[in-house]
Amino acid sequence: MKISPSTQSVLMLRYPFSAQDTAAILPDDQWAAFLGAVNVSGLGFERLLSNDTGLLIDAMPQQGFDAAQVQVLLRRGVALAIASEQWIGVGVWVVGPHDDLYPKSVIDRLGFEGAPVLFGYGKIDLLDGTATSVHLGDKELTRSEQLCEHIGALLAVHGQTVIVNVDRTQAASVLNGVLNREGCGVGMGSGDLIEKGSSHDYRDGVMNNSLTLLSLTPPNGRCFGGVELVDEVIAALSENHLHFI
Amino acid sequence: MDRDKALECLREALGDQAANFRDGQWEAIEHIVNRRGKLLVVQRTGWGKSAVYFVATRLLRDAGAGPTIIVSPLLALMRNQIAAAQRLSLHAISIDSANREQWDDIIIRIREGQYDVILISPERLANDQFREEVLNAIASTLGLLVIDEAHCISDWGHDFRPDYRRLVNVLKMLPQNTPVLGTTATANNRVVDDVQNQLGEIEVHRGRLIRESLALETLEIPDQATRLAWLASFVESQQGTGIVYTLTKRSADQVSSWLCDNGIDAKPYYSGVSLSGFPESNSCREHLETLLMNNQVKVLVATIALGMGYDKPDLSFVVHYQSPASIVGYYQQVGRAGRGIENAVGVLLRGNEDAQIHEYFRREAFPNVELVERLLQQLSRGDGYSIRDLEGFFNLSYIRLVQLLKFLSVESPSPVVKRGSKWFRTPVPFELDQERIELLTHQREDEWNEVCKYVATDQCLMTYLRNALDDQSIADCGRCSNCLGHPIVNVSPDEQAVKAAMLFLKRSEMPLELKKQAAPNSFVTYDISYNIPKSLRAKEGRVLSGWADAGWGRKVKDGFDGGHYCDELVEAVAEMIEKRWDLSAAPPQWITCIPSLRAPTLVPDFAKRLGDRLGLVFSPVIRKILDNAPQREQINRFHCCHNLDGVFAVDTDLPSGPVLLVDDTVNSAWTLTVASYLLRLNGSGEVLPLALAATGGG
Repeated sequence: MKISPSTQSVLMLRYPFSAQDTAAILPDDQWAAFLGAVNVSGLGFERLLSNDTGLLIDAMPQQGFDAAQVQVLLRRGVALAIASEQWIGVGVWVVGPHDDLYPKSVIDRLGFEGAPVLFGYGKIDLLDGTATSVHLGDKELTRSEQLCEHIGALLAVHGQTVIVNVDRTQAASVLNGVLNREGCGVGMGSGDLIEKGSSHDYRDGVMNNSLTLLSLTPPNGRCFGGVELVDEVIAALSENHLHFI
Repeated sequence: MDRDKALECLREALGDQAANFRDGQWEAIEHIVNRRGKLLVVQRTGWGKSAVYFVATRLLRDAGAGPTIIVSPLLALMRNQIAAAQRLSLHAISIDSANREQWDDIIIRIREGQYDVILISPERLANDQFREEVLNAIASTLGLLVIDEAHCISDWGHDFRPDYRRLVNVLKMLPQNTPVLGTTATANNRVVDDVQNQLGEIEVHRGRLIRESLALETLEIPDQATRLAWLASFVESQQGTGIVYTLTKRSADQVSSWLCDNGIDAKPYYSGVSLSGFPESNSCREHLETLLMNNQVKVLVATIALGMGYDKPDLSFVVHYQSPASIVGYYQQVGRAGRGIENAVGVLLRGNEDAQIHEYFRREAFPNVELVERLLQQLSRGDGYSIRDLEGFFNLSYIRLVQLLKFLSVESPSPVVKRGSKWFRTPVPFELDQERIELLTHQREDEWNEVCKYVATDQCLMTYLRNALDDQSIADCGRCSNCLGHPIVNVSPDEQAVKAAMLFLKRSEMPLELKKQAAPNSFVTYDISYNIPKSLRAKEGRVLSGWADAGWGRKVKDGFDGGHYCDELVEAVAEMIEKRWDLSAAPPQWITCIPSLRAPTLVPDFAKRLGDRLGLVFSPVIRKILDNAPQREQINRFHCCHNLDGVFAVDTDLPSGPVLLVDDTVNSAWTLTVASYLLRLNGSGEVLPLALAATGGG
């Protein structure tokens, strides 16, 4: 899979590609202003990586963002290629808000300026169905592996696609319950996607097309967005929400 | 950016105010700098490919772009590049294992913009630790990407390397606005097409591949003794310095040693070569390259490790002691000669062993389906395995496992990923592309056949080479042996020289080092945990020959097949012991051997006759008490050890004094190691291991 030019642009402007990457990425306010400028100018995002990027940016309304910084960031092509080779090289897919495959529900909830790039393993179309999110908050409950599996199994029996935050304790148990009943699950988090996808807990589910793993953080990169954003994306992707308080 | 500014830079680089662009140079620079395009330049060595990327770098840097990163396969080339960059006031640095301690400092300087050019090898680029420690820290500053010897990215090329596959994957990920320059002097149409297919929108600029100073010749000399004799006479007859290419490290050592015996200053060169005073091989190779560069050695006897990018303008000859795998590879290697001088010689010798060696290389080039499936199944069973862990599950050598995992890891998407020291199965379905493997294997067979035809052809040899590279020149060179109708060098070794070479081959015994560390949990019965105590190890031993080699190896093979080792071998071993193996510190007092249940008399009979010849009592004190699987079928350390656990017993009442321990063949050396351990444990004197032939590759 390749990364679309528009998502490449978003990555170069907004993401450090590793913990050591010191590029000064665009802060939220400048990002929003830049998106506005792109819209006003009528340019597609994919045009930002053409050979006349400099001229295109010079022709935009320049308010609210540092145009020179944008140009510097859009020259991070080698860095992006080195980083994304590692992602794509182990089967991770990458979709951004301007891609057709990107879940519309996330853009509806967060807008283009707030919708994060998604890094994933497994079938992307699992994100378009009706899903139920499971939020495990209670300490007693989260200690019970059996109970968590049972919850997953029950939802699977009812044909629900189950979404859980895989950074939380016992998320694997819920998904295990889902997958054991031949259901479908989505594991969402902000941790290292390659580590999760290559683990015994999740690997078979992904390979059987019954589990999709998502992360907001580029593999080997710095955490993007934090816990709140993970919850926001989960909320956007699910129609029903089960909270265990 | 205009042409005048670029020309000014070129003149500065060359230190010549009258210099002008060669055909295609400005067009290449313009494509990269003004159009930020992707370009593959196929031009002969000496055309000025480096001038293109240095001038482009100068112009891009002046316009505020980040530094250029050059991926280059050879250490020697990197040093040449740094010197060339300095002439354009470009600050260049190579990042390699030799300056590891300075990496932190280099990173800071790169971020501060102090370097304009950064050189790394493809192996570094593919190394995850290097990416994490260095590349990630500087990648966001980089501007132009240059791939030197770009033909390596094509697996249709003669010299495909797995690390270049990752480089291809990086190139495929480059955004449209990132300029890339690939350069090569050896790419035929098939390779160029493949590079274009792999990288998408890349423009190709192609020039003529002429080499007017080279006079070529081919000679079929099947036996090694005659070939060695010819080679010594040839090198003696040549002015200047040269390179002799061999197919294996063992041949490089052997040929180099032969030339030295003939008073010629020769040194071996290959990956992993060692010399006293050089703690690691890279610095040793660098030293050898410098010796040749400064004409401080007459000849380097090298494997293809000394190939791409080694630029010594006055190199006057290149001889292939064994035929190379392909014509394209040959053109590149022979093209090292005569770059800056008017006359140079390239001779390709063809021997009996060449076809067999290439067949082995082709057979070993790709893993088989069943093995790949078993490995992936094993990885799926757990959460990460080290190579040592995997050795327990697979009877494969450590190196073979590393190669196999590397092969899989450069597939995209890959079914495996390495994290720390462990390998994991990724959630990626994978099937080995057997069709591609078959196609590549057939192509390599065709390439080898093309080499055989080159040796046999009566047409102009240079034209043959150029046509193979799709340079359709029709004019013959007028310099090769076919154009002249007679040999280009008048060398005919006399009978004495051939006899001397034969004797040399028969005296090419090798030292035999036994093992020091066992695989954990492999010797439960013998209770060897890990380190074999020094007091229970053997001394350094000897191996008379390589299996079926041109020295004594053929006689050993005949004896093995026929069930009896001839008296000539007894005499050869006795002569080696008496004349060339200094045993004065521990002269053997008795002799014993490794027993076998399958051929119970073969080795004891030989050992007894050797004992009689040397005046040593033969005592068969080692008994085989368990019938195990053939040891030669055990590949990795765990299986080699485990297969021998509890197999032998040694008498307790042993003769006194040092003992000569004899076996016929040696591969992993674990059988001799275990037998030596048991002998020492039961009170024997020093153990001196001896084998007739080594069956391992090399």
